[in-house]
Amino acid sequence: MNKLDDFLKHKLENVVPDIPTGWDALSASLPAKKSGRILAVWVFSLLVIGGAITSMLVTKSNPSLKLADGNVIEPKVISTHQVSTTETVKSEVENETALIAPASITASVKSTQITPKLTVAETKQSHVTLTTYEPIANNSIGNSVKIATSEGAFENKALSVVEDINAKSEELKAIAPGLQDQSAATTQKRSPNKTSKSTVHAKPKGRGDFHKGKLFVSATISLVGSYRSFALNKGGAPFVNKQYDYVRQNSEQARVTHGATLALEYRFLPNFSIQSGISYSKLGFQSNFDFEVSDKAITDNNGRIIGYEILPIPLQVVLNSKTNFSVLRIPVGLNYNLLFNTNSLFHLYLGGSQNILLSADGVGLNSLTMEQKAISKTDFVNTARELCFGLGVNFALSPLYGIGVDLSYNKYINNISKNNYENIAPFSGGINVSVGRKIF
Amino acid sequence: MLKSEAEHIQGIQKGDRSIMQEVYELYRRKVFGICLRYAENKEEAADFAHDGFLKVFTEFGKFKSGTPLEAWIATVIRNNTINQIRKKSRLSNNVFVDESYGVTDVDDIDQEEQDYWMKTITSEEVLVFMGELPLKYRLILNMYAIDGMTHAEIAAFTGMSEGTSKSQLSRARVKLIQLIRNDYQKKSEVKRNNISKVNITTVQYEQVR
Repeated sequence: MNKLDDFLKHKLENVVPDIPTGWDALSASLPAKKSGRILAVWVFSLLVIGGAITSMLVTKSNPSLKLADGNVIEPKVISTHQVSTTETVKSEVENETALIAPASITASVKSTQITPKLTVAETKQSHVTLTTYEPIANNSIGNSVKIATSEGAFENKALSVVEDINAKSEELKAIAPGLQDQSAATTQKRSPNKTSKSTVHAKPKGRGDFHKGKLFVSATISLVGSYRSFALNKGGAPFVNKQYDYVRQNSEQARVTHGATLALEYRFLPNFSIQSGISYSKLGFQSNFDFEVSDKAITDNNGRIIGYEILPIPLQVVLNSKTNFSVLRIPVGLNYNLLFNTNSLFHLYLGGSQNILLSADGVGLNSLTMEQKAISKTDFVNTARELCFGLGVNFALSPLYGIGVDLSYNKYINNISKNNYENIAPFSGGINVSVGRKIF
Repeated sequence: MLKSEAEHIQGIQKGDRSIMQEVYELYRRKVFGICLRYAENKEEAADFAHDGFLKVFTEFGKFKSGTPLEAWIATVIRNNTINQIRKKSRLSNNVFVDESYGVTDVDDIDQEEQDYWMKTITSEEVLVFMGELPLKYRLILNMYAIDGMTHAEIAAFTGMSEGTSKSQLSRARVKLIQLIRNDYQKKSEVKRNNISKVNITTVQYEQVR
């Protein structure tokens, strides 16, 4: 072997230079322990929101979803009833179709002669086929109609006789205001009818129907700023006597983090609903301290303070604290809801949550040595409770979907530190954006 | 109390930050030493060490049980450092041509100078000389002479051909020996000058008396 190589190996192979520790920087660069879980929650939330938006767009753009080729729909003969004139006629319902989902039926129904079977080809634009109808009370224009559809029978005040077109036209033509485009597609030219005719049109359920629902599911993403009041004499330096702290610098700042929630809301009264779900939140705060202490606590083996040791020279304590922790929240709360127009709703939320600590890391203060130390999950209690307050608005996007924006404030009501001499009860505020779907 | 290697391995696998910190503190000097050999200066070495430790902790899933932890960490750090250098410098088969042929082994140097090499030159000084070498030379001397890699391994690692690796090594040796010898000559000259000055001063002193 080359002697130069020997020389290099001898001189350099086991060089162990003395360098300052870089653990804090390294620790800050290390990914959070449960990053996989965080990613999963985010991916799940995005999927829910994406799915809801896609479903909404698909429903709007492609109304022909339910009838399969080859199906034949049998029109049924229904009861005799009176139309707006005094004339009694035997009415039969021509199969007409709705343009949009059953929950917001838009239909034109005409009393006319028997129309033979409609094939799928003729009803391809449909969601729902009306098979029968009859006025509930009398035959006046504007009265409710009880209808039977391929989706089942129901009574709907939104469906009403809008015009008597007795012998006036060969076409269905009376269309509710604002629905010309949709109705045009359903208007079909038929054979002239000798008997009286009336056009019945279902007024569409508007977006506001979203707020008439009882049960909702929602997915929320949040931008959260969390903060911890780091009281030097109470929490920051618990082992130090209160009389001799000299604070050179004390700065604290919130850290902006994030969260995601899946929730169910049940409206048990028109204005009140109960809400619960599961929520993931990442919280954090940071503090920078530079202070002097002139004595230190003396503790027994169990960590209890038994006295104070006077230091001949004040000890300078520098703390650049940074704490990150992630929690799983199980919130339960009450909403007060107030409609301020058909599509918009204001709500106030008050509740509490049981929080489960998932992970914690960062830099804190070793109260005994007054030195910085790495923080881990073991420094905190596993479960804690939080008080939650929120207010915001929900807007109906469609009869089924709504979007909400609200502000929230959460405050821990118990100490999350395991150190009895510390009191850490962080609070956080955030802005939340949610997408909700009415279940019924 | 310091934990055992098995506890260290378990702790890192669980993502226990306090164990990671203990492992970091235990090996950081050795790791920094490895990085310093490859780096141009201390700042670059600190960056290599930081990135290397990140890799150690984030890719600990690749650790195979039964492997000594220290050796595994050293390998990860070394490989990561070489990769970083590769990314920075785009190693190729181009060979520096500025070096003339010269002394390629310490054996070719006279005994007095050899003694100086072995006894007087410190590790820190060798690191300074290594830092002055062109990147490729420093890399190849580290890989071949200190880390014991073969030319085939170096070729696989750096993308050079084996032939290039061999010729680079040869030129690297020439360059390093030149650097150390130049330094030796400068120091010898200074030493001679100092002796002359002392002699002159002594003469002057005698004259005054």
